[in-house]
Amino acid sequence: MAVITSSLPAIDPVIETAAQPARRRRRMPSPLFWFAIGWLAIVVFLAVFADVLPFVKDPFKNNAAIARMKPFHAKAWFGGDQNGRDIFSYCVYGARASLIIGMVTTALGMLIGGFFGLIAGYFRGWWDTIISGVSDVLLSFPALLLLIALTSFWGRDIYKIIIGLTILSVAPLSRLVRASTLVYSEREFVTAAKALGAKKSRILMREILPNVLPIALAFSLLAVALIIVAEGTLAFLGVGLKSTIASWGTLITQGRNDLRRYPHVVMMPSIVLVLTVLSLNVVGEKLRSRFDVRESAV
Amino acid sequence: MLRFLRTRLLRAIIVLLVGSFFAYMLLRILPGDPTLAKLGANGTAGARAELLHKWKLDGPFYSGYARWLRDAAKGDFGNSFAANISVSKTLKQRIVPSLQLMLYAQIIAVSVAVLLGILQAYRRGGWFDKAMEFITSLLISIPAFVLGLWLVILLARKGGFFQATGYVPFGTSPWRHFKLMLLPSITLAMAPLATYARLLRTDMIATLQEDFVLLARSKGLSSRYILLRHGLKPSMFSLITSAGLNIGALIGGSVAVEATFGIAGLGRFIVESVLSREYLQVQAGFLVVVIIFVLANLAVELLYGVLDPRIRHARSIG
Amino acid sequence: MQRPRRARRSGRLVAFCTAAALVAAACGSSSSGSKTTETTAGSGGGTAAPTTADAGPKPTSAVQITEAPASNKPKVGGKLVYGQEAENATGWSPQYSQAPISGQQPMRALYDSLTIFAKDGTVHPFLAESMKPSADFTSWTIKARAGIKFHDGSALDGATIKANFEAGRCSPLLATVWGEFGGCPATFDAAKPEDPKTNRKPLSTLIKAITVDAADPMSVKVDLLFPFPTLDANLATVVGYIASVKNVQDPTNGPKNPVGTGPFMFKDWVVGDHLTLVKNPNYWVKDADGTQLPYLDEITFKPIDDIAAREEALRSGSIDMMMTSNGDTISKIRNEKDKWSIFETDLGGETGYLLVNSFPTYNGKENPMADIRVRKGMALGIDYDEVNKLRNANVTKVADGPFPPGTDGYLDDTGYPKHDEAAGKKLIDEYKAEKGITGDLEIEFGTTADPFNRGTNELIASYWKKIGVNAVIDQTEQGQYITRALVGDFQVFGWRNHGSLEPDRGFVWWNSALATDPPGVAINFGRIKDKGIDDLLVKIRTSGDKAVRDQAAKDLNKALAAGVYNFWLSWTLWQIVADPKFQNLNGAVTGPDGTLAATTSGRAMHWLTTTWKK
Repeated sequence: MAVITSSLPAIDPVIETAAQPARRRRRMPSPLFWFAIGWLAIVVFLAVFADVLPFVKDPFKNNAAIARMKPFHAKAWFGGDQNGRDIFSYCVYGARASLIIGMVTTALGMLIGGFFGLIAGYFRGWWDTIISGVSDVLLSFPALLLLIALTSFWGRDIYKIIIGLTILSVAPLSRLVRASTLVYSEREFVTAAKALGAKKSRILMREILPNVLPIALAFSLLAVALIIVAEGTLAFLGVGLKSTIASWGTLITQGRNDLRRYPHVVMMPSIVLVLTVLSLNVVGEKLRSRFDVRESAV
Repeated sequence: MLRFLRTRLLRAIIVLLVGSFFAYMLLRILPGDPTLAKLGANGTAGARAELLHKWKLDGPFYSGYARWLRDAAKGDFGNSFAANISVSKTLKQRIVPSLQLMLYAQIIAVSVAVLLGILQAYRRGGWFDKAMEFITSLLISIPAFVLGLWLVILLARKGGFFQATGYVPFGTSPWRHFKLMLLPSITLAMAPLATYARLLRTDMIATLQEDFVLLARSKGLSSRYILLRHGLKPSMFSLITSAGLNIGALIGGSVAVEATFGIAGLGRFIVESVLSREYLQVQAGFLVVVIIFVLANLAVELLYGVLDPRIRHARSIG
Repeated sequence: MQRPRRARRSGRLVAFCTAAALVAAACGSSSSGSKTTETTAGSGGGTAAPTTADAGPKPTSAVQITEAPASNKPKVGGKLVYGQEAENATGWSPQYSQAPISGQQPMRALYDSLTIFAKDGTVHPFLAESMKPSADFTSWTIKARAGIKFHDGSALDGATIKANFEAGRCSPLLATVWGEFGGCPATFDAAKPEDPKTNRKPLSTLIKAITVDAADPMSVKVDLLFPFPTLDANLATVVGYIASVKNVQDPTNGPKNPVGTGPFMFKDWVVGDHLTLVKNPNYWVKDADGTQLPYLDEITFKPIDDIAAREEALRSGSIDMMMTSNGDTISKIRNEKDKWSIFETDLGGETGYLLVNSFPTYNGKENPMADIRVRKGMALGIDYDEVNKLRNANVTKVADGPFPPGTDGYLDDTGYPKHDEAAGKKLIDEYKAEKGITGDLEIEFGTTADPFNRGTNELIASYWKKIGVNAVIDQTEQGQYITRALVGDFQVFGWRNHGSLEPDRGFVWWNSALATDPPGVAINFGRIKDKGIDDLLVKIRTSGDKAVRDQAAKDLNKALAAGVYNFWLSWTLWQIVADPKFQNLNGAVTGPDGTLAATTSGRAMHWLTTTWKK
């Protein structure tokens, strides 16, 4: 997964210092940002209310009349696939699967990884050595391949895939939280609290955690994006979700056979996927640049 | 400096050992009986035990691991179940296309990123800069498998310049080799390219605000000279670091590209082995990727240490 | 189209001497008029004349497309790159490797079979000089042709044939003909053929003895335990491929270094990437003008499993030739027939169907598929015409049995259920009511990793949803898929098999003697235990009277339909398409006795011996 290491901000705080921007300007959110927010809102809305919306049909109901129909038709907004399924409806339900997998995985990963990150970053010493060591090793494994191996041998139910993805996301997330925690630990208010005799756990909970939370949220959005991509890649390689759960990756994979003649079967879900990932990245990046304090470490 | 080297080397070795241990253990902890694939349900207990011993999967895990590691160091990974072909032989063949793919992708990504980054930093805030910000965001958001499919739809035509599938070794025909590798390399390069461009841009903007640049400008040196001579080198840190770290990621992460374009590389080798329960191949494949990853990271860290005097002398922060 | 790459018919069981077995056997014998044509210059392609004892309606022909008639003197030389459906990881030995479609093509280039089918459907000796049965068909005398050498220089003789047959006995691939299910016993005791310790089943173990004639080293006599009238037809397939003695006695290296007598010799093999064969300069067959065969210098087989990628590769020139059974591709190519050399065949085509496990339990619970109401209901629920239209572009024909038109046993109407959603739902409801099931009936519906197959599954699952069955789809990699079928770890599987011209091949798939309870290994995957079917199978195997065999085959077809033991979908059509520079795609060789050899006998079989490049 090249995207993991390259799109997440560099992990080592030392590196970030070299990349310090000269000024921190509070820029007005660009139109792209608002588009991203809007898109995400639409996607979430559709995913949540899919069952009751009248224009969203059963994604698995095949209607031979719209088989292979090109998009932007009244009967099939995004066109139909080879079996006559309504691509638009399929994309809506696919959003559900993607969002669920993405959010649950990130929540779990953040909980576990964040926890270890806080400990490593705050207590340092042996804790840090062990936790960082383990995450170093985990990070040296090719994430995607490991995921494929895990799900292949273990099973491809949705919860197993979530667990597999969580295991893989713990290490990077813990690294990120650790880096932020490191920075905050050096801040004056923490020193002050220590001087006042506050217990370590209290400092962690009252001073550090609330400051780390916003940046963690930003990272979470980026993580959700990556996980959606990972799930799609799994489906593409033929090792995706087991049962008849609609997912963008599955539809894209199936459209591959007719790539030339009916490219819309690939194009529509992939555009939806890309826009969603893009929106998550844009919003996440914006939040990150707003809250990320690591750059002022040195 | 020596101390720095020592700690980094030590850490790399530890990660390597632990990583290889995980690669070995992968098969022991996963459910299922590996001998089933080879012997079927009718194998005798004796045959099974023999096979498990041959594959170093029996006995206490530490001794099994030691034996496996010892053989691996000699280059002996056993033979495939299906046709008894030496795993290391297959590995050697399968690793070449992946290395080439990764190399070409990096070359494309770094060179284009440098170009873009410089231009963006130079005219910071201008229309080009803003456009590039959007484009790089977009590129990071397009998964490799989607990008590959889009490029095929857009560019690959019968008899056209861009070819969609296949791989020809460099030795057989350099021209065809590059022709076939062009699309896959571009596909793999896009996301890293976006990241590198951003890193370079950020770094370069910072550098350009440093005093020595101000000095150079007051001396009357041309913008281009300043950009290239003074600005570029100190700004390359993040990019180089990221590129180095990416080496390992790209090797494993190129699976989707290999699948889309029909390249028989290492990533696909591992996936195929996993799917066909060729356990020994899975172990060997993982080990190779871990090794590449660790070596690449080590190289980057050492290089970084050499280049940045602050690191050499500071106590390691993390 | 579903596919596990299955093999031919001979059915093999699974001794699992190699990874997962299966592989079917060869196509069988008498063709009765199924058509296959190819038009490429110079092959004399035409339709097969029906045999006289033709039972059943004349088959409809597969569409054949023409190549531009060329000046028809074949040119010698040239290289061919052939895109295959899949890699055959187990190697290229007739005895020790699996041989799905993708495995058979190279093997046809490497090996010769003892007999071949002539265009009129009769069997003629090929590598053998003669094959004579005893009056009651319990013994056959095979005489090897003189002067033939293997690729390594060793000579063909009776002892070689014997060695091949003996190794075949223990081969998971060929065991159904030579018969040692469950692995080869250490010793073969002819005195105790039914000894349970040697794990033999009646009528599956055939060999009593193989003896080389003391007086004539080229001649070998095979004594059988039961009459086997169709042995010669069986030997025209993978069962009759003859490898060198050294090769046959080396299960470890034999598959990676195949040595045969065929027109092409092994050069090198990189698993997953390519297999290269080169011309055999000493091939024992010359063409009618006396030119040494084969014409081509070299063939490289490249496995490309992705359908779209294979087509891309062909169009962009990365490969010169490919085979496909995908309806969309076939119809697309047909629309471009001026641009390609094309060869199509549905002769003895395989049947695409859903394999059903009717064993009473599955995963420790009661298996609904064991109940005929469920099977019939689900069969009624499928809209076969729509499946054929949406998945196969109407290129194939909807099937109602495992015997396609042109084969013995074919019937216009076998009694297999036709689409009737209401009737299907009624049966399912009845079952559910009896068992107290509220909500959907849950069934596991598997397929291979191929996204196309998954799409087919999804379509069918949507029909079943309408009648109250929730089919949960899961995908398994090819090799594991076959293993799962063998150990009965499935309820409904997408499948493709049969494709034989000889109903005897069905023996192993449907015989209750070969239905070991799961998780034991059984080649009767569905664990069909039907006495009526068993009796018919015995009749087919042992009657010397063709008319009796034909009738039994038809009855078998009806019995399979009545029990709804499998859900038949369609009969496969194979299309071989190549760059127009290549001529004579079905480049079968003219037998030494002047008869033009084999039409394909289904399963995309074609030869490259007389294929040439302009």
